Amino acid sequence: MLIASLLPLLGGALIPALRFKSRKGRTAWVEGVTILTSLLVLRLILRGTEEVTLIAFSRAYRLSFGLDGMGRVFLGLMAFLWPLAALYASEYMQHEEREDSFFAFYTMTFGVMILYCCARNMFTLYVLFECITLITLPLVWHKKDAPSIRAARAYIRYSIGCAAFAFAALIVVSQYASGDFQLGGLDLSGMPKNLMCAAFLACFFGFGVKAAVFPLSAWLPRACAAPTPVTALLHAVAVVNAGVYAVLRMVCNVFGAALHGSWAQTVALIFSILTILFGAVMAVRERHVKRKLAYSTVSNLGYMLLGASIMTPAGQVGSLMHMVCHGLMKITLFFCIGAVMVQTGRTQTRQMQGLAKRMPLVFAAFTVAAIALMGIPPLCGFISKYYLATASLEMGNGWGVAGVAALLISSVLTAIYSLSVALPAFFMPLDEAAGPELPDRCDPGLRMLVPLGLLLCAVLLLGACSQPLADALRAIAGM
Amino acid sequence: MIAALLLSVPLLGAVVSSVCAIKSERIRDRIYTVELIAVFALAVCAFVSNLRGAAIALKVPGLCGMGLTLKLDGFRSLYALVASFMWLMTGLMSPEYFAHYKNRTRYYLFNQITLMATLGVFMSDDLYTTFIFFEIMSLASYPWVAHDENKGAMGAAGTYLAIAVFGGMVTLMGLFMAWNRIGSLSFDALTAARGRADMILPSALILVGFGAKAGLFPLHIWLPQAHPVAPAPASALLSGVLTKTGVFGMLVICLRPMLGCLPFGNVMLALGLITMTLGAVLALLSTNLKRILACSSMSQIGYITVGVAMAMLLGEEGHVPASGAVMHMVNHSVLKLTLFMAAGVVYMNLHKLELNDLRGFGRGKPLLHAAFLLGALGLAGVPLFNGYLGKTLIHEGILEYAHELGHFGVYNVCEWIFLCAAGVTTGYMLKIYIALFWQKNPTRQAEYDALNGHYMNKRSAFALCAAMVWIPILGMFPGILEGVSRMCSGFTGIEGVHGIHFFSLGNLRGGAISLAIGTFLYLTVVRKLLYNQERGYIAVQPKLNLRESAAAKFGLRCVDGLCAVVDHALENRLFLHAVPEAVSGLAESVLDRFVENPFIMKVVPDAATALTRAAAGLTDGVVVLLKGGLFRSRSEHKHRKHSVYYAFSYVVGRILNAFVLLLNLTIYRNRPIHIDFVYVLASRVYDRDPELGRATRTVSFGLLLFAAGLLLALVYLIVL
Repeated sequence: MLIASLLPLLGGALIPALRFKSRKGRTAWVEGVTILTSLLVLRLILRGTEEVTLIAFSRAYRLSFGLDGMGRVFLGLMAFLWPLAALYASEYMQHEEREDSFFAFYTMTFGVMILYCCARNMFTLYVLFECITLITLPLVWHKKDAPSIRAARAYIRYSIGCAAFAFAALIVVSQYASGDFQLGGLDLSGMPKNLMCAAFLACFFGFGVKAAVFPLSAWLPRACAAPTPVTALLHAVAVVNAGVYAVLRMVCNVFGAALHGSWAQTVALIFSILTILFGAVMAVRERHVKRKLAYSTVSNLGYMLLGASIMTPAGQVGSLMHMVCHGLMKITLFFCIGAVMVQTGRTQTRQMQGLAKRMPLVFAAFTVAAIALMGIPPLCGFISKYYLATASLEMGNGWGVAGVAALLISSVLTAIYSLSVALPAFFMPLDEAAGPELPDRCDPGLRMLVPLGLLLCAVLLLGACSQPLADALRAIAGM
Repeated sequence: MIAALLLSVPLLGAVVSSVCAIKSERIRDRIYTVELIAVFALAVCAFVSNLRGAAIALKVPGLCGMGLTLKLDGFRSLYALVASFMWLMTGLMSPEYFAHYKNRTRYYLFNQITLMATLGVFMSDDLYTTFIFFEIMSLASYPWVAHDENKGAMGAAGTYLAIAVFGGMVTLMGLFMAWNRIGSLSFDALTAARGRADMILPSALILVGFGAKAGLFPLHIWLPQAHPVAPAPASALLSGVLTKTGVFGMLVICLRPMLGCLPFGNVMLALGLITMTLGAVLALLSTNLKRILACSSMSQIGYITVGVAMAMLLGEEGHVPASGAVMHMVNHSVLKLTLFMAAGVVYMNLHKLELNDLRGFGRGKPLLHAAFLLGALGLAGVPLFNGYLGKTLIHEGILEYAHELGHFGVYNVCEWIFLCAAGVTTGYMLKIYIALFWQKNPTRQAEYDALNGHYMNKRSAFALCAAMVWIPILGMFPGILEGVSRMCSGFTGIEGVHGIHFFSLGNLRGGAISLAIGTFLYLTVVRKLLYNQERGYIAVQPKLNLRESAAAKFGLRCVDGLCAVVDHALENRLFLHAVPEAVSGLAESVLDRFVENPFIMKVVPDAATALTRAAAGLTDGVVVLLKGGLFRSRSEHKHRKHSVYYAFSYVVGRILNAFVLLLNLTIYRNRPIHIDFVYVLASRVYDRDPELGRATRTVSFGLLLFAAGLLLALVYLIVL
């Protein structure tokens, strides 16, 4: 486990030191490191690992690592996506500066994420949560222009500022129980009910900041100033899902069933639903395509938070399912838009019309992923929405129905915002005045198309046969 | 096996033909035709094996989450047959029709995908499977409507998609609720849930999506827009088959869990009557050939809905209207296939659809004449043609229920509405028929006559003939449709009809009344009010504008459409002075209230957005507040701080100076101290000031404080 995480950390850190002569050499190095890491991770997922305690400050505060079911799911998702994203980035980043430092941090983030997934207790989770913020910061301000500096500032203010709440909750919880995560929650029987609710909400918002929970979501659309591979992998999958993952950990492994039916759950549900609706509405109103997708991420993170706030094993299954499905779909969408931006320099929704005739493959991928995101069967977005909706209805109260209604309203809104990009691209004439002259075919090179194709296959495959994954998730949730 | 083949052959054909299209378009067309013939043959096989009593079922567990269940029994094999037949006929006509079109490969690709999905809907044995194929079908048929890629087509396609997605999501909500309540979505489980009060809401929600696809009021608005802009083969399929998938869902819901539920049945009856009448009136007022046919589709769906509603009201005894609904489904498919293909023949010659331009086109074209005439006779419900049978049974259903209640009431009024709507149908069919085949074109008659004899090729002619022969055959031998209705009893759960006297005096009387009303309407309204010698036919079409705001679209469209109908009718003095000005004023003001009112259209959504944005910016606000307050940067306020320090040093200096003065006067009288402490301290402050500020501003200072705090916390924890 430690090797798996140290490999990308070292491999990344060495990139500036190795002084690659050519792009090819660096690409090979980065791909080699990430693929090797992914293979190690695969072995880790299949074989499991024993628990390691690195440092023990006291009985309650120990840095210890191990791998359980939920970590496996998140880790597997990232291990699948990271090499693909690195391959995509190797072509994309030709158009940007300072590639060395970019790839150094890009690779190192993988290592931190692996450690994050393996965190065995609340303290370790918190420490690595902060580490993620710090290691990804240089990626956000990579362009070093005014918007990206502003974005980085907002990112660090939001993340560090809100994680302080989680820290406070960590101190409070460790007063009553210490020890590693366990299914069904820690033994918090001595804790007063209201204090527990308050601690949970502090965690929900503190860790939820990375999952862009409603009033704390402003950093995510701004972070689109970063290069597209960062937005695609980190701000649609890894970093934001880290927030959801932490909230799920809190719900399933720390507080457990004790919160079921409390006022804290109601608050969490309300804010999850608000996040869903807010993200979708803003995505409809946004003109800049990348920011549109970022708002759509906010909305979809709301789905996962909704699953977490249901606080039943079924909700956990739905949340994890959507984590996987959304990761695949959203990274595909971002890759497509990134390809369009690189090849044509167009970024606004209106400028997309007619482009499909020049970039048929990219827009075909975009449309399929968009339809999947809407939740149209038989693609994978429908499957996860189905699990979330049934879990939500099983709660059997008004909030459950409200949750399903929010899911469906946001599906309609998703149709509006995603198809308003995809359909004009196919059915409207090209807007020649919107950008520089374009060649007849401007689909990007293979290093961008191969990841797109693989992701699309995953989207289709997961939609058609989701049963094995669902069974695995049920086993993890203890159903 | 057959079920799997029925689904996989079109899908395979779609892939293969699109790939081959890169090489040669002729190969693509051949593959397309062969594939349609294969599908038709498979459907015939399924139908025949069904007649022999062997039901075909297929289960694919695990696919798409919950697994698919398909079944081909009576009704389903019948509709698989009808759908594949219609696809084959339109497919035969397509090469000629599309000869001058662009993007043909795209059309064929989505055509085949839609075929697969439509067959999937008709073969499904649980609502989950229905829904999956239904959604694929909705999306795959979008490129049909948008095919022309001009403004009108894009607008219509946008409406089509919006209604489809909206309806689909509401249906999904209903499915989730139904699943939550009865634990399964299979059709048998739905039958078992009959009479449960908690199934009313899910059923209503599920019906929204299916009703929208069928074209039921108030979600019919896509129908009159989409049909005229779609290519004619696509219109024929949209009207003849795709709307029937909506009716399929309606049959499942209405005849299984909701059978015998009176309030639900009455609502459905009202919706059916409104759709029927509205469609017919809209058709009478339009002058675009395909729009008339589209509105007529809507009206006929209204008939079917009325049949279903009567079956619901009658409960277990509802076999007469239920059979009528099924018969009318089949009849309407055949009729609309014929009529839309005939309209396609007109369009591919003239590239026009306005009735005024088409006047006289059909003179001297016997085949086209026969097709339109048969279509008109069938649709108007003339005895001996197929439309009559279904309508008669539905009519009988209404009478039966009215009779059961025993006194003159609402249902007798319904019967008259039914007869009048049938009359309007006769009116608008007469309008098309006479304009196309009897009137002379004032300007271009010679041009039209020159086309006689070579206005379509043999394949298209064959397709048209094969479609239209069914109209008299089904009409003259009612036994066929009776057999069909018995065959469907397994699906509808209600037994079929036996030995109905279709041509009894009472039934003929209903038909005759409708025909009389129709002729009267034609002679008065169409010829007197909607026609004059110079301008030809006058269109009275409601203007359905696309409003900018996406969220308000659906609701507003409905209000808009309704008001616009009333409005325009009044404007064109359709009702002369029978309707007072006040009503017209009211309609206008309602329209203004909702659509032109800036408060509803602009202020409310903007205010809502501003509110949520403000809430989302809350954290930013906190950051700004902290920056300005607690963590205010010191350098910005140097001035004030200096004055504080200087004031302090001044006071201290003055005290020291006073002290020194005292010393000088006493102890140091001989060697007095000449130091001005005010000055010395002030200069000290001046020197030290930047360092002071810098220290407290640095990160390391913050970290120092943090570490101190952490230590304190740790000490506190350890001590405890």
